[in-house]
Amino acid sequence: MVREAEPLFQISSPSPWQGEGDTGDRVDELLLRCCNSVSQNLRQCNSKATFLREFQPSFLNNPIITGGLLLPIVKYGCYNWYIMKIRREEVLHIALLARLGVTETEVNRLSEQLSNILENFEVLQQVDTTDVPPTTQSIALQNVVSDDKVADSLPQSQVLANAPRKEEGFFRVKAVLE
Amino acid sequence: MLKTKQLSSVELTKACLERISQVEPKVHALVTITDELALRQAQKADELIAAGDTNPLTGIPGLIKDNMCTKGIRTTCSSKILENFVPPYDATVIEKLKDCGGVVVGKANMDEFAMGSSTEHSALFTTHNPWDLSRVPGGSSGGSAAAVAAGEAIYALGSDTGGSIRQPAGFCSVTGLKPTYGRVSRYGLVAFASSLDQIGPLTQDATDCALVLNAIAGYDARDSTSVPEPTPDYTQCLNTELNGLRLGIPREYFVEGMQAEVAQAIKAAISKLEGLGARVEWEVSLPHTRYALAIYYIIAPSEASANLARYDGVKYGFSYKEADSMWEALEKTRQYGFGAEVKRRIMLGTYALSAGYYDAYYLKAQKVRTLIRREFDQAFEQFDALITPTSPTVPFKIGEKVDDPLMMYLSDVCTLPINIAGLPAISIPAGFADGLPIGMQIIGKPFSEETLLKIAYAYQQATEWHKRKPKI
Repeated sequence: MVREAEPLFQISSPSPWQGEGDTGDRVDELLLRCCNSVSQNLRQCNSKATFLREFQPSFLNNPIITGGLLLPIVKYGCYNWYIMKIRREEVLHIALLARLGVTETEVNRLSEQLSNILENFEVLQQVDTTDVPPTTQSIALQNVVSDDKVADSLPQSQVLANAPRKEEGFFRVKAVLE
Repeated sequence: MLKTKQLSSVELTKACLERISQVEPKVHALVTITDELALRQAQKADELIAAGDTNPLTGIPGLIKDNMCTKGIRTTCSSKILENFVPPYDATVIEKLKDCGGVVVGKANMDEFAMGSSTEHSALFTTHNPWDLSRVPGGSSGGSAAAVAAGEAIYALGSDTGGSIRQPAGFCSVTGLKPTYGRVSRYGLVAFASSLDQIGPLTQDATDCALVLNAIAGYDARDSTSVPEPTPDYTQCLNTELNGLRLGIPREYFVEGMQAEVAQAIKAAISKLEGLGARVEWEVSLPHTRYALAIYYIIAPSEASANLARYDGVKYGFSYKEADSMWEALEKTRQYGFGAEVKRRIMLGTYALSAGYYDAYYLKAQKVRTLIRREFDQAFEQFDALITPTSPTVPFKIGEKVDDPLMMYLSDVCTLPINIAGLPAISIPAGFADGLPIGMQIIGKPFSEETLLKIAYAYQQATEWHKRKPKI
């Protein structure tokens, strides 16, 4: 569950890097929290430009960060983290939906290629489509149905002819319910 | 063309088979060569002709792109996942060709599941362009186009989802027609993008194209997107009467960065048509054309992700057998069975359709699709046909674009909008640049294939580009 990012840096409070836990983990956790909150709102951001433009979480309203030099560094840091952690998870999620096994190299490659392709398609957002109905078919046919007639279908032998595994007139598969 | 009275079908078929054995080692256009079956069919055809059969396609050897089901003949879609699949039924177009007494000499190579623009994404092997063996024949009907160009058969059937008949026709200097969506039955065509796919002929000239279209067009109750529009005799329109025909030239198709020789050749071809009596309007604008790439590469992969969900290793095709569980079997079957481009498009499509993205991508693309169609409809109130280049470049080298998906997608910019709008279009040879073919695309309003064939015929009567043969 993602929480709204709390102000992370305040001049008056102790440094967030002090306290229990490994320093590296603490930084990770902070970045992840910030990115999670960002990504909730910015799921539609598929281009680096949009992300960097829209990314304005409250914790950055700190003079030390917004004082100029640190701001772009923090922004790019969050972006790269977002890409690595979130985008990677999205690719794995999509691969799961599509039931496509993917290797580690493929995840990285796909993540990059898909981002690149989708970035180029941001151009569609420029088009004004208020009151424009979607087109699913370019022909005007509707409700095409066939007559409810009984007819022969393929004989079982032909249906099973290409089956990778068959048994007693069935397709043989791995157990569905364990 | 089809003077089978002077030559028997068996002789013609044997000549084709001989030509195939001669050029195949260089061109690699065919996945399966059905020599015995072809000779048997030729035999029967000769008997039909002797008995008085007058169908122009009787006994004529043709090739079928390997994504159309041919009963008893291996149909692979150039994919490992269907490498040994033998369909138990014929596609409607195959049945129609058989009814004509046609002869099938083989199945042609293609990009895997019709996803690609160069035939380099075939999981089996790459086809080479007969005009320059180091270059691509185009895709995804690359095998069909290359084979017709190399003389391996008199005609071939291809399928077109985003330019897959027209672009290879342009690259191989043959005539390729994509009919209006709904004109030819898709029953038996392995589905890629159901709202964009169409089957069409690739031939040496417009006359043959009309003859094949006559055979395959028509309503089919088994295809719910088949339109019950009456089928005219497409050979009746083949004349040179272009007087008063209004041709529009949409400037957006002369894309920035397109090859100068291609632009020149197309402009010369258009001037030729003007000389033949057509009225040409040079400054037509279809501003939504630039969104076509994005629309296509959202809609087509989305529909493909649904259509390719059926490849699960259960009923047919490759199946990963060393899995421990059902899910592993399913995932590994698809992981090893599909090639990189197919997987990429399935992922793209699944992404565009998934919760949270559907509105921004798929729905948006469908809406802009409406705008593209409206733009074309408006243009066709003023014009009878639109002329554009088929491709922004001449055939590129094998290996040049295969690693950059976006570069590959850009080679289809001139052909994509036509599928999005469901319109008919034909690509005909319009010249050469350094010996490499240039194709001209003619776009028509729905069910105006007659106009397209007439323009193509008239152009071919006045020029010789389509008669040139590759030295192979």
